[in-house]
Amino acid sequence: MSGKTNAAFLFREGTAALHRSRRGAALAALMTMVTIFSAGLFHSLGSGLAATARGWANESLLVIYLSPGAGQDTATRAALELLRTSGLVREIRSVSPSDARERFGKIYGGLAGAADQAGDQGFPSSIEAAPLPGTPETKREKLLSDLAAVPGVEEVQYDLAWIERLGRVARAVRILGGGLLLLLGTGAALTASGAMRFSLLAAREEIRVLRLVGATEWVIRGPYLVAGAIVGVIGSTIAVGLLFVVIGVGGRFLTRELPVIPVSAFPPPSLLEIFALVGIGLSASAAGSWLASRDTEAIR
Amino acid sequence: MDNDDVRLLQSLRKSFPHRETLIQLFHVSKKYDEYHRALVDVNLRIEPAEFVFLTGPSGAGKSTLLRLLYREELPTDGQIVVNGRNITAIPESQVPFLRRTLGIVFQDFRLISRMTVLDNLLFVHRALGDDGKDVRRKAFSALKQVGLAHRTTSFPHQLSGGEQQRLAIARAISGDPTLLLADEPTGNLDPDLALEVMELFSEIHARGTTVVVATHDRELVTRFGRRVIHLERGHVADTPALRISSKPEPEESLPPFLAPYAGRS
Repeated sequence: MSGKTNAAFLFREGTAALHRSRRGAALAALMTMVTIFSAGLFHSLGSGLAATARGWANESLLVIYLSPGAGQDTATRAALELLRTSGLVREIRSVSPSDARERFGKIYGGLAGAADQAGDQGFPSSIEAAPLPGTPETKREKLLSDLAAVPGVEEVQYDLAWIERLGRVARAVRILGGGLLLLLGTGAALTASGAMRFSLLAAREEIRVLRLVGATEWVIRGPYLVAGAIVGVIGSTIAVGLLFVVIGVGGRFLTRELPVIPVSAFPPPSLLEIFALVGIGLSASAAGSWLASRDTEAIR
Repeated sequence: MDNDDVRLLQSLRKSFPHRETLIQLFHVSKKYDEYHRALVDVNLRIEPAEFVFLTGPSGAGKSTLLRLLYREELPTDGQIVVNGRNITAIPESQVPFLRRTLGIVFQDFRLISRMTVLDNLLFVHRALGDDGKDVRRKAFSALKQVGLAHRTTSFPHQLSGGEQQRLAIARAISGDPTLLLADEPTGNLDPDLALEVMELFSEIHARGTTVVVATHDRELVTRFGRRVIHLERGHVADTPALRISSKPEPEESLPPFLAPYAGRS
């Protein structure tokens, strides 16, 4: 028996099986596409959010806003002293109202006119400090409360809490993506299974003859596995292409409209991820088809 | 072939030193349920290159006997040896390989209606992994033997009943089987076509293939004058009127080498 001929037979009969159940196969490919696209999108969003959270965590600043007035110098000195002696920050800088206004103008160009009208009053003096990474939460909280208690300090802002929240959201998005993959993947497998069941019922004559002349189970069922794999590859390849388009176009649009969101928030799938996504699509569809091919045992 | 099969074959040769029996049934019974016994304690022997008619009324057990021979079913009791292998003891995974040594023809032809005459044959060969050029040669040779070489592009529904059955026979013989089993092959044909098909079986037999034909057509059986095994209610019956060149059925007892298989089904 020639392995090459047998492979050719399996492929030819696999495509014939697809042709027999064209609509079902198209539906199965669509279902696989939706599954892989959703899973890929959620995974990509989760990765992007996590990367953004990590980036922002490294750049996050502790900002101490000072009340305008006579005691500002005293407050500045006291706050600086507290920051230096805490040993929890790696960099400290003072920001004057004019520096703050200039920075605002750079980030929110369209609102620069309004900022100019407000003058320096809209932008109080502040001290910015970059905390050392890995600072224990208790020490961080104590420093924040000590700083808030300094006379002349209007407000103390530290955005790590919501960055941590962002990290949790990223994890939740990934878990949701995993759940969705499981759910839709099962749906895709069942859709492929239904399509192949229909196809093999339409091929009863062939199956009966194959059994009669001594074809092995592999030769009888193999074409349906091949057909399922083809459906899976087609569906997931389209899904990956669509992912690139959506992430590329959507990411560019969002980063242009909201400059605060970095480009890294929308990472396209890596080569490994592409292989994994196509592999998952192929496996789900092929598994469903293989399951359906068990029905050939009843055809005699 | 595993060690059990080798021992079985060796014992068979010792038990029947002067014959290479093709088919042997030892006390074979087939019971579908408490009230339906298709075969009862059947013993028979078919030699290589024999032409045997399996006759009997509907429900006598002819089809059941053929189904047992190509291992579509297992007997409830007894052992069946085909080509030196105890086919009641082979695992399910080996059944396809047994069937490749057989040719099987049915009353309903079992053709693939959406394939042409040639494709019906090529499909089978390709499924069994035959090489490309060889496949066409074998297919054309088989079609030539049955007189269908001029209908290669026709579809089964464009053929007459006789031609459809000849195509089924071509498929059965294209793999050069040692044994051809036919279950009521003329059941759907008028007398002239039935005769034509039966003559084809005779030609195949003349080339050295063992042929077993199950039929209830007494006229054909009488006309062809071959060995007859007559079944009545699942028993092998003695029918001198039909026994034209039959050999006496020996009283079979289970040989010692089959003792381990006794009662296995």
